[in-house]
Amino acid sequence: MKKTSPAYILGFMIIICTVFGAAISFVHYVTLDMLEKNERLHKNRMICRAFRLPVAGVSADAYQKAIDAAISYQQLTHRGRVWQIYTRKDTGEIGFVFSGQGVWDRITGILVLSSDLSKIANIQFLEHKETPGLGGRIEEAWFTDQFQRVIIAWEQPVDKRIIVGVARDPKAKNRVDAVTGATQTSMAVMKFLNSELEAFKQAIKAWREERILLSGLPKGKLSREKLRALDFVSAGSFGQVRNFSFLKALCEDKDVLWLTHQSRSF
Amino acid sequence: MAYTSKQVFLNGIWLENPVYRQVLGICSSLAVTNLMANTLFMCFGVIFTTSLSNVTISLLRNFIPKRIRMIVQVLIIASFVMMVDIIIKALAPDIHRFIGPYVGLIITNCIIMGRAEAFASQNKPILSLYDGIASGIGYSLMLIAIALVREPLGQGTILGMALPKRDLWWHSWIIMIMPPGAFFMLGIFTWFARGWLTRQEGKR
Repeated sequence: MKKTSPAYILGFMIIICTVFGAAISFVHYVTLDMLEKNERLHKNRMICRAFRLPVAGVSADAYQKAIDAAISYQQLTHRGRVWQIYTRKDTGEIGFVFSGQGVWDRITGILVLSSDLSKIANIQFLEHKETPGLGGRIEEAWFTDQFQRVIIAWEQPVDKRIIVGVARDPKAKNRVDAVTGATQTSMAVMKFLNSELEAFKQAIKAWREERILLSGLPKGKLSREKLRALDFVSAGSFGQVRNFSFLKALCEDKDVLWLTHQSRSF
Repeated sequence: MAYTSKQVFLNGIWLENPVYRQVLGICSSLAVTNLMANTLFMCFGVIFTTSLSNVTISLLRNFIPKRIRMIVQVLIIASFVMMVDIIIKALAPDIHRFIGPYVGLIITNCIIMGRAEAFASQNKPILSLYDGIASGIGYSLMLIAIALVREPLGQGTILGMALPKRDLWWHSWIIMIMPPGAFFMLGIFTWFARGWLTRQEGKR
């Protein structure tokens, strides 16, 4: 058969595609278990680092043991999204897996907050595809360590509670330095961290309220109206509750007192 | 065109250096040279892929139809790169996290395609292997030289280690780690290397 004939070209292409396609599939198939194991190890390692857990050794088992001993894990569904939530048993620090759009691809990581959600305890990135040497530097310790002293400015608008980069007050407690030469990545991190914080707060609040209500508050004792008012009070917006005598009564209600005692952590 | 293996090596590494002589592989030389570690990983990847793809294409050179040879070359190169990517990911996930983005970039490195087309498709497998390795080394030397200037000037570090007492006397040139720094350095290096080479040729 002539080498220029369409039949030869087509046949050659089919054979070579099959051979190389099969070779890649084979390599992928053989390494599938390893890839999965690697991924789990990486996540465990990042959880240990985020919670600063002491780990005995560097094996996959050691990380798993450390996590099993010190961390409790919950899945929580709120508005159709599944949150992976890790709670440190002794300190009550609470961490969750966040995800947001970076410059090139999605960025995921673990953000650990103090038990009252007022401060950031730590942050670690799990996956990102930012430009190495520029945006990719977000995973370096000098960048992530900065977050350990951040106090979240919950009173600010949703997009300004954490600031990455320039702020009016350079010494602000909710500000960290951006990565030089990677303004877009830094802005992206700031944007999704803020929106994730807000979404997480909503989710955890709904979850805690539900848990409190489920854990033995006599049914029907607190009217819907009272709960709603309480919600405003706990959010700090007293102005929303117009009827002050109602508010006063609310403060003296012993069921409400019990409830606020239960939920004082947020 | 009969080459000896010594000639092949000399050409690849110096006389016909892919970066400053053939002006191939410029995109990646600009992209990865802001950190030495990235540069080294990229160099290993390129040496590995050029040699493997050169051998394969050379073995198949009498069967590949002329009209679709480029498509076949890209297919072979891409397959090797994907395999390398998967293998690194499975065996050394920590390294993969750093160089992952570059492993994909190797496919588009014009040196590999250039050597496959210019050399491997016309020469015997062993010589093609030598040519792949030599071109890879030539590329690597050039990149290491550039990175050796860019990283210290841009960040005050070499291979991630800070220069001695850097905080006291050093102020990083941010432009060096940004793309313009790469253009300046590559231009200057090419200028010197070519100038030196033409003077040598003039003497002869």
